[in-house]
Amino acid sequence: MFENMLLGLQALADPALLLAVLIGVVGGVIIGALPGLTSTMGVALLIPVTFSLPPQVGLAMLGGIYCASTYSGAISAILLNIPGTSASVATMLDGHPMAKNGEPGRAISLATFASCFGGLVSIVALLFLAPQLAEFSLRFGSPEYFLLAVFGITVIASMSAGAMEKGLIAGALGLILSTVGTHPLTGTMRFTGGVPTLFDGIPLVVSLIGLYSIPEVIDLIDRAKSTHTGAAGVDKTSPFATLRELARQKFNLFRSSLIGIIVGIIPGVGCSVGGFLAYDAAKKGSNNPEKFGNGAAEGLVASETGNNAVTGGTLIPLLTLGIPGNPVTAVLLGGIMIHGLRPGPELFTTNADVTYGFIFSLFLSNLLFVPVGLLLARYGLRIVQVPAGILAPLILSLAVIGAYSLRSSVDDIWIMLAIGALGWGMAALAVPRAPLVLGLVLGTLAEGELARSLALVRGDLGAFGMQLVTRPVALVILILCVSAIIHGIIQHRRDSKMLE
Amino acid sequence: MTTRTRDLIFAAIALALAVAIAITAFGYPVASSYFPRTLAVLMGLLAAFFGLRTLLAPTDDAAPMSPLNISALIAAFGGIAAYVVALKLVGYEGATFLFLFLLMVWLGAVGWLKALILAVAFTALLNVIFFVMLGVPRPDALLF
Amino acid sequence: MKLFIKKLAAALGFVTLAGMTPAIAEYPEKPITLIVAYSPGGGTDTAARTVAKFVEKHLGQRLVVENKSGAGGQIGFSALARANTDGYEIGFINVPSIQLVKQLRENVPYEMSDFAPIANIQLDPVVVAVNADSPYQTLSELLDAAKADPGAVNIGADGPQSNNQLQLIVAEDALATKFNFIAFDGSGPAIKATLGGELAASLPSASSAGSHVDAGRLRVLGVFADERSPLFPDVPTVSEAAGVKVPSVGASLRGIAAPKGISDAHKARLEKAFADVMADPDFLAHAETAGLPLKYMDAAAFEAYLQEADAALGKYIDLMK
Repeated sequence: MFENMLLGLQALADPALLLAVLIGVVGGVIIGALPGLTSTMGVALLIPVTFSLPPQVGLAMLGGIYCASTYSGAISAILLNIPGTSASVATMLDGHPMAKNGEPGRAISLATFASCFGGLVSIVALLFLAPQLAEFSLRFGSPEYFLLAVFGITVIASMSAGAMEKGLIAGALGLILSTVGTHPLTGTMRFTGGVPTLFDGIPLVVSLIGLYSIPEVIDLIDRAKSTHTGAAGVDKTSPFATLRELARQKFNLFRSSLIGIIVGIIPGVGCSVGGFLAYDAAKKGSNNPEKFGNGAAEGLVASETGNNAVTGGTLIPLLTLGIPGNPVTAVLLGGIMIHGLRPGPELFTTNADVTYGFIFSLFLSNLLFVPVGLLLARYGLRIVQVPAGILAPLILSLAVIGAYSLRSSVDDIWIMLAIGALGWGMAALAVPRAPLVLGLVLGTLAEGELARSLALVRGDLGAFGMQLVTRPVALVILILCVSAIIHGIIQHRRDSKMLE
Repeated sequence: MTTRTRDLIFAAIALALAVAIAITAFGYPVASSYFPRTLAVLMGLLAAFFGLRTLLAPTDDAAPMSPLNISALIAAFGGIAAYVVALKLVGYEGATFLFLFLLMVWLGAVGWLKALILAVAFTALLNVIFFVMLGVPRPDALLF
Repeated sequence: MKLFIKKLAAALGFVTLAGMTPAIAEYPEKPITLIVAYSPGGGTDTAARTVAKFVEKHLGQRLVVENKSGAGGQIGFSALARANTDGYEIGFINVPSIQLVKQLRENVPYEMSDFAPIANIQLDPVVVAVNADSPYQTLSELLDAAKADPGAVNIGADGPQSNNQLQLIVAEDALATKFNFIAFDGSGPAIKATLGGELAASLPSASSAGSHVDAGRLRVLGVFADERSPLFPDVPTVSEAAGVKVPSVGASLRGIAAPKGISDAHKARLEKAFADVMADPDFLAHAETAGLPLKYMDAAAFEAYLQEADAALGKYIDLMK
């Protein structure tokens, strides 16, 4: 095994590979930071380019995009309060308040180093534990997925501090919105009004743009028209000073990485869930949970560590079993197969030079996005000082092209606008929006896997119930769900008492 | 508007929305709609409960809220709607330039000359990133 | 205003006509757009981009892939049906998806007669796959289990309303048996559930099952095809194994089509370019390593297949609703 690893390490000496990683990382940082552009799109568009490259060089480039874009969504989340990717929604909850308090530099540095840490730990897991962990991913059947979605939904409690009912209502609405379109098992159309654009459901990326950028822009226009001038200050925090701060959050970093890796190994769950669950765990484990949502560094660090740790995790079932965990890795699988490589144990023996070369290049990608991201952020920080009258039109034009380009569909711009109206209404009525996103992210999983679990036992509710307690993994998640709900109720009681 | 009125408005809208969703959802076959049906009922109950609780709560926290700015709303939604229509008529670059230029001038953060330069520059930048580098197909337009 | 638009359209039409007439001799003189009805990165998109890359040499122009995804292909197929007939807009069509969309939904704004087939590129049959540890060694053992307790054996596949589900329904009809069909979000998740032991069997496409079979995790019991698949030469066809003729209308085809109305000269030029690429050794070698299951049909053969499939589908469509 170590000989094979050495073979992979040698690949790093190839200047072409280093250049490919650099191109991938720079491209990935830009794609991730721009709302509406997804990692999937970036990876897919580069696959034809990688045809003509040697496999490890092409894969290194794709890996660079994947790692860097998962990280860089945090930049726009922190600076603009618009998540660049769905993975950075939890980051925004505390990242943007930090920027508003005049510390955008500190927030971005923390996010960058936390992402790097989470990414690196997950690649270590990929390097040493891939075959052992891969078997775990097969133990997830439909009942387990359904319970996992339920567990994810309990995180709503952490996302709606002080407004529990509103958060729950928003979460329910998000889950309902996720059912728009074709039923995953029966194929019946729901809530589409016969509009073909809605047959596949409301695209998550388009709703994120609408939900966050439209209210933000209205706020900016409001500020531009009133004489109110109160541009936030920009701190001069040295990125390296934040390293010491991170060192004090060792436990948070490791816990979040672990959560991210586990979420990554389970195919079909995704980066954003890793961020949400790590955020939730950090809040529950924190000594000052009341700071969460108002610029708590712990929350930001947890979310970013968690979502980047997912990247290495998703590669474990991909490389060992050929099972992609999310759209990006599905595209990556195509990129691997097109070179004639077949996922499985032989990938780590016969093709060890390519596989280990790829894995080692991921270490490089995770390290390289740190300077690239920090450099971009150094100039990007000034965005918060751009006059609202300029920033608002720019964000709107970006929102429009971002919504359009996902499926090159003008109809998606209208969907974005409609969701934008919803987002504005929620912001005006002080309703937390993160639960709605959580509902949108998990709704299809919850509905589809519930229906599938029932179909597998031919609709026998009793048999389904038995499965939840007799399958070991299901039982563990069930216990987690129950304890999360009890914890939520206790917390809610405590909060209401404090108000009285 | 006080936080109390605000919460009551929210409860009313959420309840109305839940009822509308429930009516639609109960029109679909059970096998394809038990999930949204359950959620719509749950959402309605939560909204009703929240509304009642707000209504019955002591009204001491009557802190006034900042008023809504209607012109900002119209500018954002009307602006994008006009932008999309223009997009279909005169093509991406023309519509984007017009949208950026007019909105910047109206917002008055910069003079018209600076707005002109910024609008041209940003239109060109978006064009390069999305159509040239990322290969996104351009939206069809009637005139160009 | 209406008059103005009419005049404008006429003027524009005139301009394109005027621009086209002298160009016929040297068509194509600019890049051709290839409309793909699925999103970047999927199987269809990868196939399209691969073909696009290799056909450039034979066409003398670039083929630019344009993804118009959504509504299970409906948006892209509709766009192709309404595309320009000047020869610079062609598309990838997926059979039988394009017909399933048309026949299962209402108000689908295209007819099969809106398309002029040019060449078929790929044919990917549906296979019956079980976990390598499965007690079912042959297809007849699996069928016996299904007949012993109709509707009790769990079988999963991409769905709903997919070519895989169509193939199952056709097979159930021909073999007079019944499975408990469970739809998954693609062949990949159905295979994963088979590996995890949740399903007795799954019906993935041959190409997606291939690598799992090579790795010894899946066993293929039968291929829904008229002849054995080069991917699994030792595996019988379902008709062979079951002793009953099972039509293979569920096989997924991917081919090139132009909107009806394209000039014969342009169509012939395109047909030649795609015929050439399908015989190009570089392309064939690449398809081999990448695991793309090629199957060339010329325009006439492809058109004939489409009509046959359309008719065959009519018999089963009610069973799918």
